[in-house]
Amino acid sequence: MKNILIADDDQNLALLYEQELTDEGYRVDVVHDAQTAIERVKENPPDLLILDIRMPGMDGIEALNHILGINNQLPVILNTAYSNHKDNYLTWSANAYVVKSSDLSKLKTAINDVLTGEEV
Amino acid sequence: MKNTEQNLYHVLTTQRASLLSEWQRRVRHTSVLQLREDFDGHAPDDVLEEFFDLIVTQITTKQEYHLLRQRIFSGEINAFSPDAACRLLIALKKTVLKRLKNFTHNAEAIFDEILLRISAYYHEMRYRNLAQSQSQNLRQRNIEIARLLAVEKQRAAHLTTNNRIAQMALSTLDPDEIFRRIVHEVQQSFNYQHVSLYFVETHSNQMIMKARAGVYEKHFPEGYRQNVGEGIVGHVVASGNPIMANDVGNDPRRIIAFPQEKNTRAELCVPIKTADRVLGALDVLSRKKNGFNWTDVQSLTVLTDQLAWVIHNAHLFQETRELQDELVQSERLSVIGEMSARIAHEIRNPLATIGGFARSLQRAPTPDRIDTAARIISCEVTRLEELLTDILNYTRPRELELEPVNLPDLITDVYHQVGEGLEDRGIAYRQNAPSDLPETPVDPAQFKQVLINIFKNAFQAMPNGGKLHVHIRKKENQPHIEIEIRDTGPGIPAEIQDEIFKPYFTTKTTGTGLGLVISKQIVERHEGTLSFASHSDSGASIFIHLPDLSSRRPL
Ligand SMILES: Nc1ncnc2c1ncn2[C@@H]1O[C@H](COP(=O)(O)OP(=O)(O)O)[C@@H](O)[C@H]1O
Ligand SMILES: [Mg+2]
Repeated sequence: MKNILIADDDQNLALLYEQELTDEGYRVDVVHDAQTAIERVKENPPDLLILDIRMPGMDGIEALNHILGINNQLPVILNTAYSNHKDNYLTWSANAYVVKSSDLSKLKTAINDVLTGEEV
Repeated sequence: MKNTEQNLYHVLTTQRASLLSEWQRRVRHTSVLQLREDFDGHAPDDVLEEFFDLIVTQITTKQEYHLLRQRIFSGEINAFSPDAACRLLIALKKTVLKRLKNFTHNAEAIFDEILLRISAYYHEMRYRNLAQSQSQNLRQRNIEIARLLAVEKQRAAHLTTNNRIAQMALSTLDPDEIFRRIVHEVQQSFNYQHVSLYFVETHSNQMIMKARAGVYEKHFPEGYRQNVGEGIVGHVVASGNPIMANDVGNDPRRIIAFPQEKNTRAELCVPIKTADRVLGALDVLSRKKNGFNWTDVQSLTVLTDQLAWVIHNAHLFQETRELQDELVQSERLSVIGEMSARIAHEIRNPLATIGGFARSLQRAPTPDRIDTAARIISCEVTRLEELLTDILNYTRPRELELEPVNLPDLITDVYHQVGEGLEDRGIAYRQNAPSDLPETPVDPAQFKQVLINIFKNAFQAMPNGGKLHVHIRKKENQPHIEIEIRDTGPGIPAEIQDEIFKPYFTTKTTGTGLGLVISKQIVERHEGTLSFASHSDSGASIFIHLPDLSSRRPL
């Protein structure tokens, strides 16, 4: 079973992801800020990290760079409410960039593609 | 119809109006008819059909759905067989979910539209503010010019005209207008036959007439051109020295542009120059031979020195204007960027949550999930509603409707309203007010909004409880009332103290960053002030100062 770590400060949304991805057969772990996500990656690296960008304190883009510094093999999906972060080249090191939506199928496809090694 | 059904019918009909308006308020643009249609397709059998019609128009929130569900389960409505009840519930749930999905869908479109409008409105406001601050800079420069002009003015103290011209240069910013008025002033004051003002256009080596006054106004339209080096004016510009041609009829340098010019017997032309450059010339004409003397030359020289400053100012004006345009353009872009990121986040997150849970329920409606989903969905809808209220309050301030109120009572009310359901938070509330406090004229609804925002912040600052003290003070001989709202949260860190009154600044996950901005706006419209203090050890205080309008303004 694949482990997914979700970092999103929005607790309700994170709960939705947790529920949905558990249904898909993943083992899901949730944290609500970037700092904790970094610690979790150090202690117990997941198979995939889903990272929100806009979080209080350290944002997802900064966290992404830290995390890739620790483990540059870790697949990361940026999942955010705002599509324009795509223009920021710092986000290009993520394996996928998904805009948040009530329809989780894009996210699920991205997860599947990243985990099976088909880059999106 | 059976008794209990009639009961239900009664409950639903009496609540109809309020439920309906609530629903319409929520989804103004989602048509209720559409929802009814959606539902009709699912009506399972005749027995329920009649109710569905009602329910579709009336069950509009999760809470209402839960209420009905509870009623059916508790046997309050026992007209249905367990089977029918289940079908009713399933049908209901489907309606609610469908509605939620529709709502999400529509809301996304509506919010996109709102987002557009807000950013249009917002950058318009920014543009105005910016234009204002830029013109303040210009004013600043003009003051500088005024200072310089004042020096000139001293030199020319004997000439009242010059004073008036200096005044003019200050009072208006449009250079063309200044030139026109100066030329008129000179012509009137000295009763010259004709006065004109020329500027040099460097690239064409021509002089352009910018303004004129006197008998030849019709013959010399503004914009009339002449080559540098030709005519009296051309010679003055070329040499940088004044020419007094007291018998211009016999002056070889003269050019006659049209026959009536023969009526002019004397011409005096003075250059307008800075230390290193001739910018133009001021030319005056007289009917009389020997119409000019050295006093004229002197006073016109003083004048043209001032004009040189005005022209310099005009260049600055032009440059500043261009700079301003550029600035506005880049400001605009960054404002829109910031706005859309902020709003996209504030709207897309709750929408994704609502829609996501609705979808997940549609797929697997297990009882435990329904409860969590219902709770989260209604909580996210509240969040969206609050966001909308905040944005609307911020972008469309309402007129004040003043009314004398008892402030301590109003504050207590608001405290209870905001603190409702938070009793177990462990907040100790205290409120002091002087016993002789007069009733204060405020707009009760808007002032409540101020207090709600501040109380909410205080509660949010003390998630694990604390003390909340409200002190109302009215000092002898002071015309204002002070309200201090003090909490024992972490206080406001120095790094963000400059930020907290900026729109959309927030340190909270689900904050809008508008609470304080709106509150400040409202208090200021009451002619009061809103400020804060952060006590490093013991939380934050928000101060509202209200003028005691009761003594000044009879209501
Ligand atoms: N009583 C308080 N204690 C500590 N910080 C506060 C307090 N009130 C306001 N703030 C700070 O000011 C910010 C802006 O407040 P506000 O304009 O009400 O927006 P929001 O509450 O949506 O964040 C808050 O995010 C918080 O950081
Ligand atoms: Mg607030």
